[in-house]
Amino acid sequence: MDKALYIESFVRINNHALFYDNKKIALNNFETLEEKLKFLYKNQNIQYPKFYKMDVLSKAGFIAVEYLQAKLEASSNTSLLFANQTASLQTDILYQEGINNRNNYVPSPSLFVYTLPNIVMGEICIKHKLTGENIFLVFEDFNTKLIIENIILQFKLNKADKLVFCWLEVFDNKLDVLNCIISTQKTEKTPLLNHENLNTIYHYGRNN
Amino acid sequence: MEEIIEKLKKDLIEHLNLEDLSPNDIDNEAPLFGDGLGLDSIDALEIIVLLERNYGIKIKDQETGKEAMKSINSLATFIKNNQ
Repeated sequence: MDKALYIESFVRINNHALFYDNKKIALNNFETLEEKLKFLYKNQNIQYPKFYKMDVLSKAGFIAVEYLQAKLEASSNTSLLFANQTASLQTDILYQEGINNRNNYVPSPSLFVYTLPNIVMGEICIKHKLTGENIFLVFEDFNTKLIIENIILQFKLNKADKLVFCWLEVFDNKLDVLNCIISTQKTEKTPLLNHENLNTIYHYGRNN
Repeated sequence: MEEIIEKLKKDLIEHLNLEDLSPNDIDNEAPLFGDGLGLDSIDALEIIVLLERNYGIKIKDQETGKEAMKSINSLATFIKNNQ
């Protein structure tokens, strides 16, 4: 029988706000994704200059983890499972624009390294010294069935005693991010990982 | 030479996304990589692209690049000698 899994902590980010620990940080005053993410970085007093070199996908994933209230500790048993619809398409397009014109050919190495969506997990693992499994999946949409099946598999295969799940859809000036820590530890405040609860936190803040 | 150094620092700050730094924060003699400015191998590739695009200079081999990129002063000297 599968172990029960619980949502230990979550962060939800959309174009209007970041929600964490019953708090809300409004983002309506900022126009671009870059501006919103830079504001969130400075708001948390993070000192990590590498942040400015990341692409928007990595910045968004990095920020989502930094706002988690259940902090990550260096571990070989914390897995990462990230997913989205558009992979690294935002950065792929930017890179392509740089090399389209043969008369103004600008292949940027620092952009090129982000033309794979899984790099965001590398950035997070480096910062938090996580050496467990990680996987980036591309789905048609936020599919709770597929997400939960894949999370359960990580625990079933003993690849994790804790897992960072992140739905990280960042494309065309749209932020749609849900980041949670999943574990086998039950407390009063930790809801069970199931379709209903995952959908509830995904839609958190929609009407706020 | 002062002009080259000043322009170089501004170019590096913009091109390498060194957002929280101003030209005055960068020590001309400090190492660019590791300690000092703390740049990495991707930054090295970006500097090569920057030299070609903004200064019209191609780095021909690894040794030349390594010597040139020791510090702001060595990079500025390299630019002055190759423009």
